[in-house]
Amino acid sequence: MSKRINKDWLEETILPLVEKPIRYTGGELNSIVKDHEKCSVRFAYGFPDVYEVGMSHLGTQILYKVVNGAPDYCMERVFCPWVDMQEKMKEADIPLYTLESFTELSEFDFLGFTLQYEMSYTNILSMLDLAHIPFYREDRMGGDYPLVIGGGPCAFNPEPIADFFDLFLIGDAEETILELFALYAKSMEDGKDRVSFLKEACALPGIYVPGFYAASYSPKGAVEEFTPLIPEAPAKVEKSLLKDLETATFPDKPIVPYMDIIHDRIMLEVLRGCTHGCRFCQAGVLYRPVRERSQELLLKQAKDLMKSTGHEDISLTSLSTADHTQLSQLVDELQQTCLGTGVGLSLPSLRVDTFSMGMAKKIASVRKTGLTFAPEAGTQRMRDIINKGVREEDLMTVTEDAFRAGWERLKLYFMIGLPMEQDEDLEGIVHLGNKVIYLGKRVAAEIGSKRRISVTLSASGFVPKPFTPFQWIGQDPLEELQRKQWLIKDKVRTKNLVFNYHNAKVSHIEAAFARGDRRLSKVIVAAHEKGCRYDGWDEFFNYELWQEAFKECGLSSADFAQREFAEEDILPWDFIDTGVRKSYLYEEFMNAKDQALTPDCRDDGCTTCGICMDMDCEMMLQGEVPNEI
Amino acid sequence: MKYRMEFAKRDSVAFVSHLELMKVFSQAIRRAGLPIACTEGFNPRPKINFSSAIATGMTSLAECAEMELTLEVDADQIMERINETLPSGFSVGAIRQMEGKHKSLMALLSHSDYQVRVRLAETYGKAADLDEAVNSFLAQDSIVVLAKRKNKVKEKEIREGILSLEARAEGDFLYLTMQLVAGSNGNVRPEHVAQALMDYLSTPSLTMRIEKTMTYGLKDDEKTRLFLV
Repeated sequence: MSKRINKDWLEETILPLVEKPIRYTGGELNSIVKDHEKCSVRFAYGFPDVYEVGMSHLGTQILYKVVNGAPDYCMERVFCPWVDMQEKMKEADIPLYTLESFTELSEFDFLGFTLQYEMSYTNILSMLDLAHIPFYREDRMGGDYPLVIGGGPCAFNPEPIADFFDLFLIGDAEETILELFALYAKSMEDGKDRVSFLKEACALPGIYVPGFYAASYSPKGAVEEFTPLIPEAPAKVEKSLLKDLETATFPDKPIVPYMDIIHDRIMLEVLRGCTHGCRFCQAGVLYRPVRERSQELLLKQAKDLMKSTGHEDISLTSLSTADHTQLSQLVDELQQTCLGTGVGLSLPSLRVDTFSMGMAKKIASVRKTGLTFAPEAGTQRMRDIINKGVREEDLMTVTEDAFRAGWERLKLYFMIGLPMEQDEDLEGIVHLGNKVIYLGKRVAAEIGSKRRISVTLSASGFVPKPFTPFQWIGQDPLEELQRKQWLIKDKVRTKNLVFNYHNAKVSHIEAAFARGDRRLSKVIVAAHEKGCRYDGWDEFFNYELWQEAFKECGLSSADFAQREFAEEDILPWDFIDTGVRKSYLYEEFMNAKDQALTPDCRDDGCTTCGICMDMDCEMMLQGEVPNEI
Repeated sequence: MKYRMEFAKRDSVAFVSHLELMKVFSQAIRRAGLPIACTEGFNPRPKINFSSAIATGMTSLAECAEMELTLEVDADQIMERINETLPSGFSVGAIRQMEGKHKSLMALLSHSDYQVRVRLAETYGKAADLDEAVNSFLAQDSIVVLAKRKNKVKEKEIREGILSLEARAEGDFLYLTMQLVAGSNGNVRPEHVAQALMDYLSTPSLTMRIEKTMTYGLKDDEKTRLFLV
């Protein structure tokens, strides 16, 4: 009875004509196919990017386990088809389908999109279009369409896409999604309609139903009013918080793709959250407080995952893995476990300190890949403004250590366009790069190595994100970002030093959406109609089309990307409560102006960001915080 | 310890590419807990070799692969364990331990059998004369096809590489059974033979599905099932 795609026919006629057809066949090891007739809630989970990107995302695997672990619910995956497949599907009038049962998306109770990146918004529309589902919530009223829901980091400012969605789930989804589905199943059983379900859903943690709120804007674009339209809708939507990672559901049998995906390895989530308090970092605010998993549990999870996946790498993932209080012991034990199996360990990011370097050395005994450090800014003044507690001598000590241990290729990651930035700060980036090269050459000479030292400076354009101390300031104008890139490029004069930078136009559009409000949904539709898609991919991003789309809607991307807010202004995302107080973020903004450092609350006690007090939770560390960080 | 296995690749996993195939097997072997030998060096790779790079989209009933283990394990046990951990669509049908030195599977492979199902735009009209038509197709001295290699199209002579070809019409389909030269000594692709025949018969085709049904090598100049060579 549900509408399914004829798989044999698809495999014979369409798939031989497209690139990497294995993206569209499903059937991977550990994927789960359930009988829809026996499920009270059918959930299609959409990842608005290509298969190999989506399947690299840990959150997808977690949610898959959470939902499919419930006997009455099913979750099936759908990714954004690559452009060649999109064309074929349109030509042959094949609606978008899920990889588990090849069912059309319109047949599901819920269609969810994970919102990982602003530049994937047009892909959401491409997917709705291929599924024959109207974009705007208003246009779906009365029709028999799935409820369109969203979650993930960009759901913390859902306003630019609010008109497309019925409901957003803000914060950790592991527990709330099951409560939401239970409520839906009961509502349907009781014969209630969707509106009454949505009203009741407002009482659940982290649920935002945009249709129940009205936003009005001044002619200049400031939020004049943002108000709930019904009593059930809370004025503030508090994020959903998973308080204990130790007891949380964890994907012990993740799907193992046939394809080579971006992160083709075991992802062991060692902790969630980060309290270093870098003032540019949104994730550091959204995922507070810090919650560690114990060494015992992680070891068990690693063993289970080795057995269930057969992957050859284990990556210890989190926002800052070196922070885990039991990391050293954990790495030792994991190395024991991996001995003779050919399985290797990796750390995705390193802090600039000797402890992290020690870990890297320990781990690299099997495979010695490149090392990446993130000083983020080129001068001490700038690093103090952003509260990145890294000193130049730390970087020198650590890189020297890396060269001595045999690494020749290092990557240093920076941001440009940071608040209060001056040209000296940009010159400082090149200066640091040259110093590291010099150091590398000196070390190479000392240890008699003939191999070439190379340092890559990688710089991305800063995007002032909501819920950071820099949310009140605007992004640098596009021309200024480009000038800064050229300034650095011009100063890089050594062969061993490579400068990589991201397309500033992408950062500009990204900022417009990160800082945007409800007026932007029509811009996304206009851009989609002009052919914008896969905007996060350089080969498809088309800045001119985006400019046309903004213009047609009577708006300007610069107004959104560069807009400044005053302390008393209502921010478009103010109705969401991350647990970190707005007043704290503003204090941090002032501290940035004073170049005053704020310590990590792990080391020096509470900095009163508000999360533990207001959300009745606490930092969960498994061991002692070492004295020297 | 070297082991040779013969395996099938059916259904949707036809779209697993040759590079991905390597990953599928090494993961399955690790899940099975078999002591796979790895290459030395910075980036150790599991020692598994395949007889040929099977085309993406083709199913096969008789692919061959060899792997090296660091310990001796009973062949039947290996088969049982690996079949438990292989993803659906893949199955190992036979396995044996190899003694002494021998050429690589890639070098041993000489011929393959294929079955091709060609979907026609309309029912084939001259079914009664089909055998005769195929015979006269094969009676040609030369059959030239256009072979794509990367972005270049080149003419390729394939007549000598066709050892046998039979055709049967049924409804909108033509079923072809063929034996072709395979491996490093002049591989002929079944879709080229099918296309050349369609052109010869002036019959437009829509799509085709191809299955490899057997692979051979030469043993004392005798064509022998590759697994046993």
